[in-house]
Amino acid sequence: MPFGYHGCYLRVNASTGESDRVPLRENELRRFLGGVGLGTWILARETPRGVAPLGGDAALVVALSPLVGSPLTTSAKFAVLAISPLTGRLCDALSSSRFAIAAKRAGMDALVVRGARDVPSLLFIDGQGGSGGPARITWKPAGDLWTLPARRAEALIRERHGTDWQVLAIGPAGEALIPFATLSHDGRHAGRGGLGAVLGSKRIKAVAVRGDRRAELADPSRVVALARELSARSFGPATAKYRELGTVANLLVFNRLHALPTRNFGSGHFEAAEKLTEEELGPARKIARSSCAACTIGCEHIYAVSGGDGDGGGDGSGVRLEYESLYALGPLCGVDDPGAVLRAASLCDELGVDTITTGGTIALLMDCAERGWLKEDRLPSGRRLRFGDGEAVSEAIEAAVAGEGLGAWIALGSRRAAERIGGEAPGRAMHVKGLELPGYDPRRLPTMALGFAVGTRGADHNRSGGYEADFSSASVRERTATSIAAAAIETEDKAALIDSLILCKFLRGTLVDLHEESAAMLSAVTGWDVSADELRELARRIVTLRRCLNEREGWSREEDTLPAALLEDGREIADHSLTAARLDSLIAEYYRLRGWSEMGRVPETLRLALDLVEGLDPCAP
Amino acid sequence: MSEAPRITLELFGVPRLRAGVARVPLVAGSVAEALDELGRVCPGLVDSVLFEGRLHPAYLLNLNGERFLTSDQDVGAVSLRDGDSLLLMAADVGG
Repeated sequence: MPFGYHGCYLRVNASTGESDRVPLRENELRRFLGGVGLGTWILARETPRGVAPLGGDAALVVALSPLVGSPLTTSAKFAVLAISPLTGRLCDALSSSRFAIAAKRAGMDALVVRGARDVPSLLFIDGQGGSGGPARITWKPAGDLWTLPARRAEALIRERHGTDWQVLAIGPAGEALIPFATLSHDGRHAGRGGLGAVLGSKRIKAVAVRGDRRAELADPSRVVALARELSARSFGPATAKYRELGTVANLLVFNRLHALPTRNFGSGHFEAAEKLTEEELGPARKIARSSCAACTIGCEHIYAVSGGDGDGGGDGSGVRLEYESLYALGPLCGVDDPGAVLRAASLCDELGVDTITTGGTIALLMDCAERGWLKEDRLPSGRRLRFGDGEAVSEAIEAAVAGEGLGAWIALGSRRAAERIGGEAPGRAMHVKGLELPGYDPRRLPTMALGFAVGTRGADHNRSGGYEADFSSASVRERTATSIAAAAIETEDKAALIDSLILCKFLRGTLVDLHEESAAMLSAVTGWDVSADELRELARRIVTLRRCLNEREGWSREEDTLPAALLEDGREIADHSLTAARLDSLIAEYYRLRGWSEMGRVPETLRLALDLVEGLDPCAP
Repeated sequence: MSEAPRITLELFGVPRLRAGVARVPLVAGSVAEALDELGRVCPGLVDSVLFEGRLHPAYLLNLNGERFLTSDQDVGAVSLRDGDSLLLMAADVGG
């Protein structure tokens, strides 16, 4: 067994309460690595074809990586994967901090949970003591923890059972099976795609882990040397934005470039953006700056929440605000009040819903209300849902989780809500494959547009970093379909590697050569003689496997697209060049460069070439 | 002799924070001249964003919201016209 791994995953049957340890062979680990790579492979093995995302057969996978537990900065991360109840397609989400380290110390490279409990429960996975044997699992009733915010439940579990436990929990939204419910740990979230609802469907409130089993490093002194060097670089100018301002600094830049989606993508420019700058959010409101465990960047900026009853932290100490939450609850809904945005973000944390889907769905309903397409546009208080009303956003969030009136429509997510409204509404729902667009207007960003359209989990700025190419030296108008498609592929492959290692993408500006440096880190940890080329192929394998899993679950070519309203000519966006025909040509070129068929399917020859062969290909037809 | 162009240098993120202003009017015929002038007007940017008149690789420029300039060659070669806007931002634009 290579260093850096335990060589197994723990499979828990929530219905029977039993667990078993499933061996992982070295060739499997080397081909899929960890994080989203290993997690996708395990999910495909453990999930029957056509599974209902909230059914008992559905699997929830937590995947670690060989770097977890090492001194490498930002390595305390884990991936969570399932078939999404929002999209019906693969969803993988990343989160950070001590849960990753504790789960690895529990003696597993991954965790799989299937089945469902009869009553709301807590799952304890104890890898402490016991002479290094398998972790012991224990079930306890969730009791008074059910209905609590995730953060409060986490605090009580640690208070009652010991602070050596690290906890991954769901909030009321996960319990209510809202299809965009989050999984949360230490105030951080595996946010997109409704993975919290998957755990909620198993009537599991929280998973608590602890342990003392270490996966040894092949060359500890080399790992320490690499870690010191990487940490030193992580303090430099390349990460200054994150450290000094946080990702909220993106808002004004995107607005200036007309890439800030505003009022349900009616425009790419928000006239009141200056009211939502970091200068307006803080310093009066900023409480602290924080970081994940084992992170030297420190990108989290925490703001006080005033008014309302939102609990932004276990001790009411504020809410972490990122660009995506600021965009989705601010300009996307036409809201320019920073206090209102912070309250809404805090509510999303407290109730356990993804801010992007929440904001995107509310914005859709605001848009439909203003166009006169809703028979009923009042929230439970009687307030009408209109762009610009920050208090309406907060009320809408509460109504969604409570399932009250218009809230019941918001709780569907934008795709299903639009279908329910009917008429022209589906054309105005800003999603891809059911996952709402993040804060990048694709009409100005063709590589990002392509990345959104072909992304396996839907519209996604993390699995595709297409914007990196769009914010580059070449003018958008000068770029060919081939150069755009090649750039989209490069960023997807890099993301697949980073998300499988797992490291934070905010390190990207500090890395001179991602593949060479990753190979060095991986070799030092595992003892493998890893080359940069091997990692390039690994990334292609992982991206392809994710496509194969979606194909198995019924993906079709029509899903690789963008919302109809973004592909019309004559929109308010200045000088946009994205039409349906142009997008189709980009997609066709992307398929060609990937080696897929004209309809975007992965040929058998490519599966073989990427080692997705029998025994390693869980998606084989 | 014609006057050098009047341009606006717009600052975003850390450069804005360190300079304490969002916009700096400058008179500059080229991007290189603009950066030199910026260092004089906003000394807080020297040795953090600007190094010997050049932009640190962690930052990049955009001309008029249309074209990004990321190499020394671009900086030296691009001439400016009256009314141009140079946008100065982190090279890691997204996140």
